[in-house]
Amino acid sequence: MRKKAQLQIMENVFMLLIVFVILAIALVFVMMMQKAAQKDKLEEYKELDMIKKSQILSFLPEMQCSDNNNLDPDCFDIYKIDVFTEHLKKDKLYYPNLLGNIKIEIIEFDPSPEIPDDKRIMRTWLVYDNPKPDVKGEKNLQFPVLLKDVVENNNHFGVIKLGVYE
Amino acid sequence: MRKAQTEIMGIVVIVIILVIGMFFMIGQRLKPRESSKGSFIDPKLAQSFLNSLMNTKTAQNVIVSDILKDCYSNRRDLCGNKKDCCLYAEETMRTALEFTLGSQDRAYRLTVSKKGSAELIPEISKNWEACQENEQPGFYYIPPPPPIVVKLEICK
Repeated sequence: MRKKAQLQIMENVFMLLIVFVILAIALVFVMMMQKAAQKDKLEEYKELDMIKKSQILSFLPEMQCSDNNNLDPDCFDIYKIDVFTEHLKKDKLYYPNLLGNIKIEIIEFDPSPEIPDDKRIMRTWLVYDNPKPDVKGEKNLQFPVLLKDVVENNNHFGVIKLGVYE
Repeated sequence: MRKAQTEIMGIVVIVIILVIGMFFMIGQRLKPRESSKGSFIDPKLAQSFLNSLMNTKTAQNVIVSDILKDCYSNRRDLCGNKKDCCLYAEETMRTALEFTLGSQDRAYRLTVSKKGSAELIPEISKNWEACQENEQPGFYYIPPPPPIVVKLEICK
């Protein structure tokens, strides 16, 4: 009688042990999934940050072409770019706070067939570059823009490159 | 059925439920995540490209939209005597597309059409056949009516 009771207790203990092992495995699995989900979220936040930065870029009236105070988001005035680039070199407070750790580069490109391939890049402006002290990488975006020379009344094709430091 | 067998059945049921749960979670995890970057930035890209390129002055001192207009007219004298304006426009658009979208490995398709007119500029595309889903296309209309329609589609 006593032996049978002991056996039954042992049986219950083993049952509980098995259930705990299964639950522990499930818990580890769920934690691993949570960690992966957090990594995904972090990636998404980084992408959203990049979108935010690109939106700032689209609404920088400092460089955009204006005609009777009507701003054109797809057009940048090359004289404004020159002045703004110079201004950004001196400004250490407002724009670093607004733009953060990014790099803005504008490239003038001539797609005309008579231009040789190695001479297509006509001009490059490094408008702003503020890397983090410990740069881990850089995410890049590219937007086609029109570069307007209001003095010569000339329109050039260009690309604005936005690099977000990670 | 003996008691031990019933207990084993109980454990099997628990294990089955846990395995189903794990498969469900793995399934959720393996679903491809839609990039926020793609959904927020790209709708603008095709339109920005067309707005910029069509107003660009080429080495012939004429903007691209005027070259296209000339291509669809009977004059065809804007690109100099030696060059065909349709070919000139095609080469210009192809080079610009390659520099912007091609360098980023994006698949694209650009078409130029005019109602009641033959296709004078062939479709310019890159890896378009493999594209499953495309972004919001960009349109540029060049008057007079019926307008010349330039359409750019970019793959997601």
